[in-house]
Amino acid sequence: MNVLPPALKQMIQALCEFDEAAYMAAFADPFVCSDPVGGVSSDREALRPHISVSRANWQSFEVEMTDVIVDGNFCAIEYTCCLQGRANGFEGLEVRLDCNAIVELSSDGRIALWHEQYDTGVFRRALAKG
Amino acid sequence: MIERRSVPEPVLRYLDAWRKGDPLARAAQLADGFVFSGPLVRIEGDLPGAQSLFARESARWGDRDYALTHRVGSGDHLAIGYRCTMTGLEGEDAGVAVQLPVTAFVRIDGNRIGAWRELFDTAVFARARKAAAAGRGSMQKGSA
Repeated sequence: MNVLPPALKQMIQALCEFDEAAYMAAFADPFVCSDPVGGVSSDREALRPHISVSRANWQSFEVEMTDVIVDGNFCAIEYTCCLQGRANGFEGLEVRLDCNAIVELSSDGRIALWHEQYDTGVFRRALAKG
Repeated sequence: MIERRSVPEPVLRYLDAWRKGDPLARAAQLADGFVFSGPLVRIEGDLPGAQSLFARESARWGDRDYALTHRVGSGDHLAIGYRCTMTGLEGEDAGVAVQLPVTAFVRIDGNRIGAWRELFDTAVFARARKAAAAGRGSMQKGSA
């Protein structure tokens, strides 16, 4: 496993600490973000709800890194988000969400492309089970 | 898009076998002691289990194709992004066209695949079914 680039370390730490400013600062200008829930976006303001919605739903957000591949200014990361529910039906639920992302870093080391993949069915199944 | 020549041969052989709907050729790309995982499945070293899973998928989906969209890493350790297109052949998926973005972390072992860990959003299938049903509904209304 390669070493996690600083911008990704910052972004993941910000996710875990629900730190909106640090999260948004990890992204370059311009950037492209795509994930199963938000689709494709280049709108910086569309990043903000990533933290506010996460903070609303989860009382704890931890990330276990499985694999990191660094290839020039591209990298790929594989990780599991370990979430403890706070509200919106997730109260008391523990959810493990396997994720991966392909990332392009800009010349200043920030995130120019974030292409994330995960199964939203994990949430549906957790809610049904809970 | 990614040039095919930048992707290791075992990965291309695996994806091409998927495209052809050939479960045995697809499973033949897996190395001894392989790990295959996806959103709803994990198989470790069980070749008949992989053949059976791939055969069920082949029976369920036809008109398959894929386009490579991302590659990170090279040699025997890489991640690839690709977009699959397919059409359902049976049951509630019959006639349903699906476009599925997938990302896989791959390890090559010798000239075969030692690990294939793929992720995609299973909700894509439900949305495709819904869209197909809505399309059929509007056609029926239009023809009434």
